[in-house]
Amino acid sequence: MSTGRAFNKGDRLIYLVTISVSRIGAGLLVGMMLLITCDVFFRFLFNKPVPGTFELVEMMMSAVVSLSIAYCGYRRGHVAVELFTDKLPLKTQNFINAVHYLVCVAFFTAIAFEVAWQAQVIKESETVTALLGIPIYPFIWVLSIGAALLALVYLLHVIEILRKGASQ
Amino acid sequence: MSPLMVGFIGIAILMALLMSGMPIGVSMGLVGVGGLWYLLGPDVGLSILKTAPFDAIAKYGFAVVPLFILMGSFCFQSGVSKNLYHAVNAWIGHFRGGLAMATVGACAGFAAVSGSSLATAATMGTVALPEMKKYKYDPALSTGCIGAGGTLGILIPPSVVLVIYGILTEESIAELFLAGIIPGILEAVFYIITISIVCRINPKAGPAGLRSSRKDKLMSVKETWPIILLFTIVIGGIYAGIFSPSEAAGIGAFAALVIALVQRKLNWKNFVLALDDTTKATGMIFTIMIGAVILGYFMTTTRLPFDLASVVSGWEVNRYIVFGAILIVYVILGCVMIPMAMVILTIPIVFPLIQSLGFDGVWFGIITVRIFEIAQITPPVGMNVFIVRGVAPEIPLTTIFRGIVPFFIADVIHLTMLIVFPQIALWLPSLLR
Repeated sequence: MSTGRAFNKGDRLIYLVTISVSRIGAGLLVGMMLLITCDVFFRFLFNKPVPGTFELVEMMMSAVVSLSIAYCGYRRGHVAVELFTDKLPLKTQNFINAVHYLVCVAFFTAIAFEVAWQAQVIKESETVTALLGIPIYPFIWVLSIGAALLALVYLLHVIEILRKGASQ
Repeated sequence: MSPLMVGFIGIAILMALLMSGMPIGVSMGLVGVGGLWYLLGPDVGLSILKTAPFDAIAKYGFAVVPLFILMGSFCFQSGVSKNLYHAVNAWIGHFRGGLAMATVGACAGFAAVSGSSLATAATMGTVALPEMKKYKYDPALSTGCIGAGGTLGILIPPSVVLVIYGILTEESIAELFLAGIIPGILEAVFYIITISIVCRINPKAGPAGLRSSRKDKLMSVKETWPIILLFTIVIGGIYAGIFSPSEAAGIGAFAALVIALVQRKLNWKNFVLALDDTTKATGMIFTIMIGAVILGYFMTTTRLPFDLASVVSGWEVNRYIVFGAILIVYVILGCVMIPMAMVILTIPIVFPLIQSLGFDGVWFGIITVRIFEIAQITPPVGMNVFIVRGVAPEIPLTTIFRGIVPFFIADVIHLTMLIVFPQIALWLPSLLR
C-alpha cells in the first residue's frame, strides 16, 4: 500500500531527525559535565574558576532539554496515567488516544509559535548573557524547534492510530 | 466567580485530564493556559507560552537532574551492580534467605550512585533474579525483595526526586541528601529483617546458598571500589565544601565515566546507550516541569496555595489531622503516578500548607519520598512491580504483589517511625546547621 510506504518513510525521517537532534543534546550534556568538572577543578587547585560557567550551563541546559523532548516523545517516554483507560475496549482507547495526541499537537505547536515570537522579541532587544555577552535568542529558537518536532512526533502518533483503524 | 473558585475548578479539570490518560505535562500546561485565559483574558493566557517554557528549563540548578541521571546510566551500563551483588552475596549468601538479603544490600549500594528507583529495580532484577532461581527461591520472595529494594534508589543520596523537591521548595539539597541517609539504611535493615522473618516462617522460601571462602569474600569486596569511590567523591565533596550539589552531579558523572573507562567496561555502544537513556528521561522530566511552571503562574494568580494554607492553619484542629489528610491524598495519587511527576505536581500547592503548619521542610521531603516509594510497589500501578515483571515475564503479577506484602508491612512501620521520630531524618542535617 502506497500510503503505508509513505507513512513508513515519514516515520523513518522523523525518527532520524529526532535521534540526531537528541544526540546533539547528549553532546551538549557531556560538554556541560566537562565544563562543570573543569570549573571545580580550576577553582579548587588554582582558585581560578572558568569564567561564565553559570550562564553557559544555563544556556546548554535549555538546549539539552529542547533537543531531547521530541526524542522522548518518539520513544513514548512522556508519562501519562493509563490506569483508567486501559480497561476500555481497544477502539475507545484508540479514539481517546487520538484525541489526546491531537491536543498535544496543538499544545506544542502553540508553544513553538509563541516561543519563536519571543525569540524575535529577544533578538530585537539584543538581550545577552551577563558575563560573556552570549546572545540568548538562538537558544530560544532551539526550544521552538524542539517543540515543533515534538508536535510532529505526536502528529505521527495520530496518523498511526488512524492507519491502524482503517486497516482493521 | 472568585479566582479561588476558578483555582479549585482548575484542579478538578486537571484531575479529570490526568485520569483520562493525557500526558501529565500537557495536562498541567493546558489547565494553566486555560485558567489564565479565563481570569486575565486570551492575551495573557497565550503569552504565558512565550516566556514560561524557556524560563522553566534555562536554569543552572536544574543541570543537576540530567547529570545525576547520566552518572547512574554510566554505572548501569558498566555493570558495577553485578560486582556489588556478588560482593554482598559472598558475605551473607550462606544464611537462610541470604540471596534475598544480598539483593537488598546491593540495591542500597547501587542507590548510592543512582538517583532513580526504576533503574535500581531493573539492574538488580537482571542480576539477582537468575541467581535466586538457581537456588530455588520462592518467586514471590525473590521478586518482592527486588521490587521493594528498588525503592531505596530515591531515598539514599544522590536522589533526583530530592533534588527536584529541594529546587521547588528552596530547601537545602545538601541537607535533604543527609536526611535521606539514615532512613535509607534503616529501610534496608527493615527489609533484611523482613526477609529473615519470611524465611523463618517458611524455610523453603529462601534456602541458604553456598558458603564462600575467605579469599572469595575479600576478593569480592575489592571489586566494589568504584561504588565506594564514587559515593565518597560525590557526597564527600558536597560536605567538605569543595563543590555544591549542582556541581557534584557534573563531577559524579565525569568520575563514573572515568571509572568505567579505566575498568574497560564501557565501549562506544554502551556510552551512546547511556546518553540516549539520559536524554529520554530528561525530556520526560522537563516536559512535566514546563507544564508545572505554566500551571504555577495560574495557581499563583488564584492565590489558591496561600489561601488554602491560611484557611487550613486557621482551623483549630491538630496539625497531624491535616498532615494525615495530605498523606491519604498522596497515597491515592501516588498509586497512579511516578514520584517525580507527583512531586512537581503537588509540592507547589502542598508545601505552603506544610510550612504554615510548622512542619520541617526537609523532614517533609523525606516523608514525601517515602510515601511515593511505597506507592511504587502497591497495586494497581506499582511501577517497580512492572519493571520486575519486565525482567521476569514468566512470573505472574499476583505472585509479585503477594511477595511485596511483607515488605509493604515493613514500609508502613518504617514510615510511622519516621513520622513519630523526625530526628531519624533530621539528626544528620542538624549537625550541618
